[in-house]
Amino acid sequence: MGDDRQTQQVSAAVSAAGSTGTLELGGGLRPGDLAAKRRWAPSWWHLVLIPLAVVMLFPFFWLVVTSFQTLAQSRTFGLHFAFQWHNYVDAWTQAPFGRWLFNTTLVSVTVVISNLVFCSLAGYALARMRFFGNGALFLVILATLMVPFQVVMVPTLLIVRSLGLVDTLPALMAPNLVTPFGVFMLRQFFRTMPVEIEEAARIDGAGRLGTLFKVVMPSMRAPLATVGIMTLLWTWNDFLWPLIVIQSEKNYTLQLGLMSFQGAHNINWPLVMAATVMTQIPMLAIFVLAQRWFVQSLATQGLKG
Amino acid sequence: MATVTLDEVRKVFAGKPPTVALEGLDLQIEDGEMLILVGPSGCGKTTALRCVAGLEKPTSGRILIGEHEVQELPPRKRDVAMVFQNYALYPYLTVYKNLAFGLKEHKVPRPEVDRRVREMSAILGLDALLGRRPAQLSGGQSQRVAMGRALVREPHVFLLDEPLSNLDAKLRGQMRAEILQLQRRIGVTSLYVTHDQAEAMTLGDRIAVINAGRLLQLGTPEDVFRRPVSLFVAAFMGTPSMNLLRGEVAGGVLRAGSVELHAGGAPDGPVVLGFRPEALLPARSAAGLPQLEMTVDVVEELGNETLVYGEVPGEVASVEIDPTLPPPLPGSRARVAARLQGFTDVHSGEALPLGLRTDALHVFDAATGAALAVEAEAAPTS
Repeated sequence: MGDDRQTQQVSAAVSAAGSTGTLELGGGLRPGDLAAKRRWAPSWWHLVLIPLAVVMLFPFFWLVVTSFQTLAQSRTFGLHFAFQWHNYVDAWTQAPFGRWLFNTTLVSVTVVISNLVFCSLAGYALARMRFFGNGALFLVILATLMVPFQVVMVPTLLIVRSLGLVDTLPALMAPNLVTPFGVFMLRQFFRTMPVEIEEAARIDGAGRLGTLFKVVMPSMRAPLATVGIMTLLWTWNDFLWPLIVIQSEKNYTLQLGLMSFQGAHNINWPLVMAATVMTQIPMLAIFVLAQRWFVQSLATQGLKG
Repeated sequence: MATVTLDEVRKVFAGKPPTVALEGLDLQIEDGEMLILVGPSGCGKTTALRCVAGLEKPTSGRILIGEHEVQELPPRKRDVAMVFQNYALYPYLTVYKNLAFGLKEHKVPRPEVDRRVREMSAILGLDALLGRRPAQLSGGQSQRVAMGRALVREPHVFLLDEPLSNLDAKLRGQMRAEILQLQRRIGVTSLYVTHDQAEAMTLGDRIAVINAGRLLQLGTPEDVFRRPVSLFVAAFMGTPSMNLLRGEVAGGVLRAGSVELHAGGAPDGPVVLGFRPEALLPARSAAGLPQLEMTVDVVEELGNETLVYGEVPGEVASVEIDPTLPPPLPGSRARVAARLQGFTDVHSGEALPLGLRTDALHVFDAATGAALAVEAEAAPTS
């Protein structure tokens, strides 16, 4: 009731401000307060969203809690809260964790940059240039999105082997340098952009590539961020492909390295969990920092697509 | 500045079937002139503009800017600037950077860029907006920025593609005056595409009326309005459009509905009699003029004038300007419009006697639509 009354006061103040162009909110309520109150106001949706959030967050919560437990605590049922920092130190020192972090970062950053460059070029060409077979080519790219990785895994391995790349870091990068997802997503965004902006740039003196990089790309920060984040997540968390193509421990990625914490007969769960938390911290940080672009790009696509 | 010449320019868009947008267009825009390209939707006027800009390549024909053939050159090498219908401002750049973009692309030294941007922003009243982004501008402000971005490069040719069509009526009138003033001040050769006849009449040194990719008439606004060379031009120019009645000339006498005239010089045969709404006068002030009686249908009081729509005896001649509109129904009554001065005491359903000014009549060949040179005068009442 209180909220309703304050909302009415604001509405009345907005109506009254019409003639003078000034707005004074009654009841000591400021616009920021109103937005905050709306955000925190109870909604029927919360009955669905809160349980869903709990279901989603609980495994991560369990992961973090276990990572601080002693080995003995982890072997008994239930949540035992402890503060065993040493698990993190052990996880870092018992395995070449730094090396794996470097490998994963190198592979992920290379794949992300490559995707941003080449998917943009391919997406732009498919969206804007008129050439024979444009539509068919796009359909083929789209079709590859529907093929599960397990289907192309063996042929990809054969190609990588014929290139002599097995058990090297380039083997982890090569198959993912351009992804159909990136091409598809960026092509769709290029199509939503008014073509007149590019034409204006061409008349103003920019060439094809100049138009793309100086005019189009800066307007595409949200979709580029989306493609970048999604590619980074996939590459960072990829386990199956590194498992197939990498044998030497020095070329392990973090996900592959986590496997080495599991013994044949005995698993030190707090250590595994501590290592897992460490592998996920960079991703969490990047996602939190970039989520504004991510949400914005999805919202834009929803509105215009 | 430079003249712009379109020589037999033809543009066909591929497809099934191919679309002929321009069919051998010949046009010359004089140095410093503002030429208005006007025509109905889909007539090819924007294609012609885009061919000059270099955004479309003609299928055949030549385009010259000054003495240079440019049809093979990319847009950036033509020294043209263009204002788009939706302004096409760079969304992530401030107004200042929007204005400076073209200069930087042409490697103009930084101090010169700054000088020209500030000069142009002063001319267009954009000084206070230089730090804003396009999303923070109103329609009129965006329009001015688009103009500024085009003119700051001091191009040889200035192209405008329906630049006012996204503005409300009041702002459109205001911007029309500003464009005219700016073009006169800078004296740049300009090609302006519109389907708005008020813009065409008020802005143009000359008007080119095109339809189906062909040039129908090129002349001053007065020429095109008062002396249309064809039925299409007559029907297209003017709001409300020219009244057109089917008629017949026999022995030098033209009969169209209840109107009977001496039509000196007209060959015998079917014709179309055209008269603009302002050629109809209240009968009391039209003694000696051919008379016709309108059954009033709709009265629009506009303050300084009144538009009266109604039916008169006769058959209306249809000219297909907008193919999406249905043709008038055949019958013994024709719908016409009259423009009367001030307020009138006329109401729907009344019979309104009108006189027809014989000095403002147009006669067209019914078969070809070509204007006929006819000396019309009222026939003596029998």
